[in-house]
Amino acid sequence: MTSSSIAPTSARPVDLGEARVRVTALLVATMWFDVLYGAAQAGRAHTPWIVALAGLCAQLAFTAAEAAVAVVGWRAMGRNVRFVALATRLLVASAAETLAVGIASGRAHLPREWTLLLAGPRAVEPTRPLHGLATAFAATGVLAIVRMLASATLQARAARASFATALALVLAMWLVSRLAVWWAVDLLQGRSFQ
Amino acid sequence: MSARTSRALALLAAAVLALGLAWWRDGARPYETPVWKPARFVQLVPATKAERERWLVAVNLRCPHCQAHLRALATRIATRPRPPALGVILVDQGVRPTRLGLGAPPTAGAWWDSAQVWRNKWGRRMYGETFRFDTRGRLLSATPVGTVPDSSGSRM
Repeated sequence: MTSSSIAPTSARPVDLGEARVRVTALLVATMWFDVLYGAAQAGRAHTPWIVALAGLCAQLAFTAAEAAVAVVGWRAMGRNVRFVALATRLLVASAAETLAVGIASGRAHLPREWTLLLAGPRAVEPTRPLHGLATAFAATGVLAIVRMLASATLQARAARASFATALALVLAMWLVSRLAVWWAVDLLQGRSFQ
Repeated sequence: MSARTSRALALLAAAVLALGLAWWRDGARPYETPVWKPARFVQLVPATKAERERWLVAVNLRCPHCQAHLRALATRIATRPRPPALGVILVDQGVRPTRLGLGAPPTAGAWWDSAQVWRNKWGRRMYGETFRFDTRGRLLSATPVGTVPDSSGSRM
C-alpha cells in the first residue's frame, strides 16, 4: 500500500458569469479607447492617442468612483456587494455611452433629430454650454437612459436585489451627480481660463 | 448599517450639501445689469469711434483664448460698412498693465476694471464674454466667447 505525499488540489470553481462580465468590461474599455481616439481625431488633436488614453483613464476613474459610491449605497440598503463586481458591471453598462460619444463626435452620420434624441444636446451643440444646468444635462439622451437601465439590471443581479431597488439607487446617484455638476460648473465659471 | 457606511454616507451628503449651499449663496447675491459708464473704469487706450454701438470684450491678459476671440471678432467686423466700435475691459487684473499687446485695435477703447465692477457689481465670470452697449451705454446683449454678438448666436 502506498501513500501519496502530494496534497490534494482544492481548485476553486470557476465563476463563468463573472469571467464573462470581466471580459466584456475589457472589451468596453477598448471601445472607449477607440471612440475617444476617433473623437480626438475629429477634434484635430495633435496626439489623439494621448487624448484617448487620458480620456480612458478619466472614464475608468469615474467608473471606480461611481462603484465606490454604489458600494456604500448598497451597504446602506443592507446588501454587501464587492467593489470589483460593481466596477466591472458599471463599465459594461457604459457601452451605451460609447455609442453616444461616437454620435456626439460626428462619427455616425445621423439626422439632427436622431442625434439629439440619442446623444443629448451636447451632440448638436458641440461647443461648451453656457450654464451649469445645461452642462449637467447636456449628455441626457436615450443612450444615457439605456446606460442607466443596463446599470440597474447588472447591479440588481450583483446585489441579488430587485430591479426597482437598483434603478432607484442608479437614478438617485445620477441625479445627485447632475446636481453636483450643475452647481460646480456654475461656481467655477470664470475662475479658470475657460 | 455599519458605522463605516454611515460615515461614508454622511461625508457624501455633507459634500453635496456644502456645494449646494455655496451655489445658493452665490446665486442669491444681487447684481447690477451692466451699464456702460466709463467713469467706473480706468482708461488705458482712448476710444476712437465712440459714437457707435460698443462691443466690449471682457479680457484677462493671461487668457489666450479670450484674446483670440477679440482678434477673431475684429477680423469678422472689419468688412462691415459701419462696424461697431470694438473695445476691451481688462478684468481680474490686480495691477495696471504696462503693455496690452491684444493684437486688435480697440476702437471703443481699452479699460482696466480696477474696481472689479465686472465681477463684483455685474456678477460676471466668463472671460471673453462680449457686452454689446448702445450709444447711451445701455446693454443690448451679453454673449459668450466664440459668438458674434449681433447675429443671433452664430458661432465664429
